[in-house]
Amino acid sequence: MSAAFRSNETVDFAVVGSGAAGGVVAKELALAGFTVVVLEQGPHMQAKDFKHDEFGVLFQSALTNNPKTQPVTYREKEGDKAEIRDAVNYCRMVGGGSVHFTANYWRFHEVDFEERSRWGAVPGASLADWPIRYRDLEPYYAKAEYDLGVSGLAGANPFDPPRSKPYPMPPLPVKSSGVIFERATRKLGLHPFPAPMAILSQPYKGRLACQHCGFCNSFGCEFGSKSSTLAAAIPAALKSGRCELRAECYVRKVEIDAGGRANGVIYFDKQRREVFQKARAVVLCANGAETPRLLLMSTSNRFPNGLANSSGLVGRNLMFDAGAIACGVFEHPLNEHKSVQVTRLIHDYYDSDPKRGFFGGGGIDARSQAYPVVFALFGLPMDAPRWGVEYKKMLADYFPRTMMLLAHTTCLAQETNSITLDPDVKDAWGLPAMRVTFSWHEDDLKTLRYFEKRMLEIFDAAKPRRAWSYPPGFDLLPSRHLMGTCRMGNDPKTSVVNADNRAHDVANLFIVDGSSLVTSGRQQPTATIQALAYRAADRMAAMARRGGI
Amino acid sequence: MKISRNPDRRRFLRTAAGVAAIPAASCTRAGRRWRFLTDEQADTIGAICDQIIPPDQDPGAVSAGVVHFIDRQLKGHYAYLQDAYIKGVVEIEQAAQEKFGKRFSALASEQQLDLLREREKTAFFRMIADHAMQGFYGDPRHGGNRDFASWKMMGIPNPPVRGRQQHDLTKS
Ligand SMILES: Cc1cc2nc3c(=O)[nH]c(=O)nc-3n(C[C@H](O)[C@H](O)[C@H](O)COP(=O)(O)OP(=O)(O)OC[C@H]3O[C@@H](n4cnc5c(N)ncnc54)[C@H](O)[C@@H]3O)c2cc1C
Repeated sequence: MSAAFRSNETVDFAVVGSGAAGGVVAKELALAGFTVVVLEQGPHMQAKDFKHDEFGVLFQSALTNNPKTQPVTYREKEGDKAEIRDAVNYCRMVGGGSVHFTANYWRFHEVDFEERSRWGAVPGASLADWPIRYRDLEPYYAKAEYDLGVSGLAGANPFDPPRSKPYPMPPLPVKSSGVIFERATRKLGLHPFPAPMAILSQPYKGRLACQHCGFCNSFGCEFGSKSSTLAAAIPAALKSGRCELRAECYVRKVEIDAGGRANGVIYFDKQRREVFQKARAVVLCANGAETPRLLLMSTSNRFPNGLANSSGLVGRNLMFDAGAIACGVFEHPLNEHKSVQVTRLIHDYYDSDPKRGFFGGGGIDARSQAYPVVFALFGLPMDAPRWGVEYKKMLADYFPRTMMLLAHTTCLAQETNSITLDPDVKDAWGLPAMRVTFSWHEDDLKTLRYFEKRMLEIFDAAKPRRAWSYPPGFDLLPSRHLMGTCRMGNDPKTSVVNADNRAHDVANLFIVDGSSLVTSGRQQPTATIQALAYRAADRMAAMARRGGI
Repeated sequence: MKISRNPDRRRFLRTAAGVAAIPAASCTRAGRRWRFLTDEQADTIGAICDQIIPPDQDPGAVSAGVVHFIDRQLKGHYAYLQDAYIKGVVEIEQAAQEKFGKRFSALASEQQLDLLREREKTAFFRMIADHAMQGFYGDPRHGGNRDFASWKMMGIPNPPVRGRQQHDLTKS
């Protein structure tokens, strides 16, 4: 039975955000015996509420942050005036981004935690080592894979970092794009392997295996087979009897007592009444964009520049989702609209290589191209007709025969890329809108161009009727990966949280989500965000038991 | 090709006439076929959309319900675009009168294409083309893609695989 607390009752932990990280933190803390209130701004939907409704999901923000009520402003660089623009896209509901993500579940490699010392400084970027190493996270990657349910084949990727356990279940069945990709990459001497996916290939812990309906990317799973925290963590948290989930509760401030400790959060409930929930400790899991915004809104006499911001780095070092796209159309139908998006990928170009002359690396996966509406709007080659008889014929021909290669590549942290509060624009609750300042580092763009060439080579080997790519930098906003804005580190002057995800400035404030990431990996940050969440919850529980919070 | 020789469009107009004569139960204002558009505006928009997604061996925009989709959205998600639609329709009707002396929907296909090609880069044309695609290729629940017309054309299985909750046999 779900717990119910009064707001003036002091709970052990108030968790803000119930997404990839928040769902895990809430469950782990509740099962460890603590009382927890989870505040989530979005609704509590269930598997039966999810639909194959592309217009609703992709054009009407059925699941995601809605620019009409929570506008975001964007500018390329500091000093410019920001304009309203959809620069950030995240799933706004119980389960957060783990509900609508594609479910690529890549562990970071060892190198991702120590690139600054291996590679050296990159001019214009704030590349840094993490305060922890891959080996510190490894047990928690394994825990996430087993607890939530991840499909994959251990040992299939020769570049994989060491692992303590195989995946809990075999990979999902290969699709046409995977077969074509596997043949072509082998011909080139590369090392394709089955994609690790947070989607069940077999029934697991009372949940159904994937039914191959094809609607994973951006959609909620109608079968509960995607291992979102909505399906795989939050039910256990509620069942513990120690966790209360309050959906449609929008936190606007973390409160501080006279001693400089967090003592609760203020939020707007569904009726837009202000409520103060008291707590012994606060955990922010509101994602790489909303967490820094909330900290910057949490000003007080003691913290005039925002909470936990003595370094001035809250909101800075924002890292985005970088990707390059190439497509190929084949003679026979591939029917890529079925099943999970990705079944094969390569990590051959993962590491940065000095011979390339720039920093950066990535992975390439083979996948379906797009759902029907987006395919109709953007799916055909750039020189194809956009409307009329020929267009329609081409669409019917191309849709079932097209596949896509997607390269997921590094995004360098830069202090000038940030989340701040917009000085003018307000959201529907009267709070300052999120302002995004972001431009790509030149090495990020060089990496994209490099990967564009590698993907076209793969298509050359695959012999489609035709292959095409989009100019690097095409379609990079809005970003769906939001990272780096409260980076983790040992030095309070150059980081916001310590190696335990505890804010340097506030002893009982924890920040656990995409904002802690020091580097972007090769995108697909969710496995790492969740491994960090399991680890941080362990640390918090241990500290709380010792009375250290 | 004359629009009136287009079977899809004729069928659509016949249905439209029928609905106008017998007030539909689901319509709050008896005799009104559209939530936002006038019959004339709907006629123009339909003719434009049928050039963007023309009927061939598969249904075109109008018979798949794209005008209904646009009309609904103009009272919903795209309410802020009402003016843009009204102005765009007025502009193209004026041009049709000036150049050919007829309503847009009464022009020969080549004449319609002539006017549309001149406007291909305008905000109005891009908007209506985007919305035509959204209606034609999107989920039928929004009024377009009637009978999964576009999904059949693209080879997407119908009915699509759905969550078990939607196959609850106790309810059917
Ligand atoms: C279409 C799409 C596809 C993706 N595919 C992949 C993929 O294949 N692999 C991968 O690794 N990653 C993928 N991602 C990214 C992934 O979704 C995120 O990395 C992940 O969800 C981030 O986890 P998080 O815990 O940091 O935040 P989130 O999961 O975003 O959770 C934050 C939660 O906090 C809530 N919240 C925010 N502010 C407040 C507030 N003030 N008060 C109350 N609640 C609040 C939000 O509503 C949200 O539910 C994808 C993202 C998108 C959009």
